[in-house]
Amino acid sequence: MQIKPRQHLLEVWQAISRHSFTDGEWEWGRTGGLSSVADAERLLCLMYPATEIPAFRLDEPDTTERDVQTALKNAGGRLEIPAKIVGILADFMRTHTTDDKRPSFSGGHYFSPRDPEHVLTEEQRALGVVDSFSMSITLSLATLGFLKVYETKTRRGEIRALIDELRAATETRLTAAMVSMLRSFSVNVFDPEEPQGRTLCKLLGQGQASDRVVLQQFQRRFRSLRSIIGDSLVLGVDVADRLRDENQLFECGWSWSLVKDAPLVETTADIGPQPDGIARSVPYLYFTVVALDGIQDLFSDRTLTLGLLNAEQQRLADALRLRWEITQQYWSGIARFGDGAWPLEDIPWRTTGQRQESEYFSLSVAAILVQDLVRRRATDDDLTRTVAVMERLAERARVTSRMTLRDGAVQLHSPGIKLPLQGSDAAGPPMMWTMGDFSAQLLKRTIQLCALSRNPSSHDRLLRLAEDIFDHVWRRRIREGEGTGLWDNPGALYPDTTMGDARLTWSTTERVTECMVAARGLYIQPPIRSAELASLASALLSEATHLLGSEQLEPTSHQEGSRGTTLTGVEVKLRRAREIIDRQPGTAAALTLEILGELDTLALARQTASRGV
Amino acid sequence: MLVFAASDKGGTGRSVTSANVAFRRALAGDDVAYVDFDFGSPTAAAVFDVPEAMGGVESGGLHTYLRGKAAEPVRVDVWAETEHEVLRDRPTGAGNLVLLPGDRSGGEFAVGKDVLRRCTDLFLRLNSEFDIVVVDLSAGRSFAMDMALEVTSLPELRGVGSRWLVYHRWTRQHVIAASGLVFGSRGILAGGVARGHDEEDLANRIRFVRAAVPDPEAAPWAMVPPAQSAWMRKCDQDLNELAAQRNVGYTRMLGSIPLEPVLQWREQLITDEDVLSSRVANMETLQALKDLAQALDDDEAWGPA
Repeated sequence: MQIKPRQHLLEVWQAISRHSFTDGEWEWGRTGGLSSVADAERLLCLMYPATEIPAFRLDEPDTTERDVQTALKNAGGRLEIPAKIVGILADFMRTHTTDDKRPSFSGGHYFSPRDPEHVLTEEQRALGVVDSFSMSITLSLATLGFLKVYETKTRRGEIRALIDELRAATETRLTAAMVSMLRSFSVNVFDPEEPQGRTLCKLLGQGQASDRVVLQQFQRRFRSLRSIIGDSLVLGVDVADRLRDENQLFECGWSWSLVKDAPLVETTADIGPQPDGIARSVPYLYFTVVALDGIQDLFSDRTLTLGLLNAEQQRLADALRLRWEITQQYWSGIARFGDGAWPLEDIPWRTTGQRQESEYFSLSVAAILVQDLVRRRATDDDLTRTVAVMERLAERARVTSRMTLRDGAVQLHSPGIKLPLQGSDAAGPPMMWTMGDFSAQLLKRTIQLCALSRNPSSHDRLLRLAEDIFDHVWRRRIREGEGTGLWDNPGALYPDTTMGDARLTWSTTERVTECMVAARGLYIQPPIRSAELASLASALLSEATHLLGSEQLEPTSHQEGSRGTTLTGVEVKLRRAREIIDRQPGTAAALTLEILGELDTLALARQTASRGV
Repeated sequence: MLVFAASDKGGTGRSVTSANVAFRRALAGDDVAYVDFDFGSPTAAAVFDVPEAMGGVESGGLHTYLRGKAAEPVRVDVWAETEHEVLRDRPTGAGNLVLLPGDRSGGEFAVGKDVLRRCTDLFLRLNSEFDIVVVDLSAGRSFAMDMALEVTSLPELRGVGSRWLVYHRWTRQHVIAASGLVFGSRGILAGGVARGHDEEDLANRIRFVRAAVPDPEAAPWAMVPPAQSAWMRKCDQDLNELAAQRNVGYTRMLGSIPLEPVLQWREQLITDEDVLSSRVANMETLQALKDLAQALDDDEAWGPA
């Protein structure tokens, strides 16, 4: 199924406005307010496209496009929509603020007990989670940018007051999210003999190299990274000492929440008391990817040009950027470790910290690798290998192939992969986190990779893969009842399996809108230029130019006559072909072929005539 | 309520649209007066199909009154005098519809103290007698417009609601001109402020009306060859952007009347019969006129954006 970012996104928006607006009023519904993650995801479904795609902007009512406005007609008229969005965002900020005026990043109903018999405590449900920190960064930046434009457009007194309140709350939330993000970062050092160490050595060695060789390679490969971490990050004394020992392995990334005993971050901003951490200091692949995605927005072009960060936030952003760089380099290095097969190519990936095995983790590592490739303008070889990994993941997850009886891949889609949250038992029964968005994540990374590739064959492979995955994702929309047209309804695809019922899932819905935004990025860049086509087009062009010249040696026709008109048309086309031959050699060739045909009609006619004499 | 209809250029459909709006309001039961201050070229009578007043009345019109040569300007009862066959039977429930024509050989004239006083009297009288008083001003900055700004700034008319409609066609030049007419250095706002109006208050009383707008998504424009259609849509987008930059965007727009042959060629009232039985006019046009007529006193449409 062809991906049409604009049309598909409009359909999603229409479904959201149908679901969320009753008589023009926003309805949070049953689950609203329970989880800051879900609410942020829901708002991002609107705000993310609105900030990333010029055609979908809502902050300038005078230029809102008609199809966009039609899709949102349930929400109200062109002038009402931005005012309503301000109200909804302010409502979100108010809801997710604790009694002591501190922004709350609660996971809420996204947390579940590991043992279904148990019930989580209130305290546990209110715990912050990296998903929420990351979403909050993205949502806050989107909100600040939105307000920056909209506040110059409205003159209504009550809205202006609301805008001021919202801006203050958003800035506090952004700062608090960045501080929390810093306090959730973790560096974990372990001995090669420990179970974690053995898992990592096995993963890196790929059964080819002995643990000792792997350790040596690890030392060499990550020596500079190790010293950067030791020199520039504030670590616990114990961790810092062990990290200096070259015989120890380490990993870095984000834990699921604030790390236990994480030091307070000194800040001049008023963000209320910083809560104590609870999470064990172990990086999780999933949360690392989530964090990297959010942090990236802090130094996007948009954030910089609009000047969305204040000095204090800029300082925090720099600290986060350092961790972002380190983490990305580390995992990209791990994914491509060694000289032979990549550890990433050995699917499924086995995590060291939680010692779990799943395609989902392979996808997470691939996601970091893709981001790293995007940043480094990767080589064709790296790219081609990653393409193959993506294709295999789609195949193994039964996205591009048929589900078999009692297929293990069902787990990936419904209920999803469950992550134990280490350290959560300090506040009640042990908790876990469920990730059910595999297909949407896979689609997002495939599209990102596709946008990166400038090699026609891998670009084409990725595009076809993306379309296949999209086909699967699109069919998983809910067909009836609450949230019609949104996600997720895995049962629609695998009717014979015991998959869960259709249930509105904002995380999947949000990922799909992100995919559509990424897909637009795919089409706004110029098409890949093929060298063969370019040389063919220029040869055609030279022949056509020559033939036109010789045609013009014939007696001049009257300008308005049919021959005159044809020749003028030919000249215009020729000029156009020459103009675009560098960018679109294929189009240039097509135009030139038309010219050649027309010129030949004239030439052939003359030849026939001369034969008759 | 006084409604001033202005435009920077001629041929914007100001008179014909205003007359249609007046007609719609009368049909809806309001008493409506249509005051033809288009001193250069009085056309309203033609739109209402009132032959005696075609091109202005011989004498006793608005010019005569303002110069002090008559105690009252001539009034024409449109329902009674029109030759339009549909209009002649006044629909039940319809309000009065009265035309105050200009003089045939009137032309523009200077505004003196006496003229102002008479004009003030006229507006006050009409306002107490009618629900809606549409004042059709000449194109561009004219004496009529200065007079309207001057009179509405006087303490006597402070309590009288007045609103301004600025008509423009949907083209680059017209958008720029309409913006200039309102926001330019010699525009309505500047002129109003110089006469003692509060700038923000006056700005909130001004709205734009787009006339003769081709809709690229509707027939017949949606049926043109694809290249032309793509071109039109792009132009439309560009115009919207230009309008937004010039403060003429949707936020300040009260209505948009589609390009309509009946308005374009015949400059006449569009009756329900034209749309429903003879079908020479489009439903969309009728709806747009109804919406515009309704928006005249819809406070939400006039609130700060």
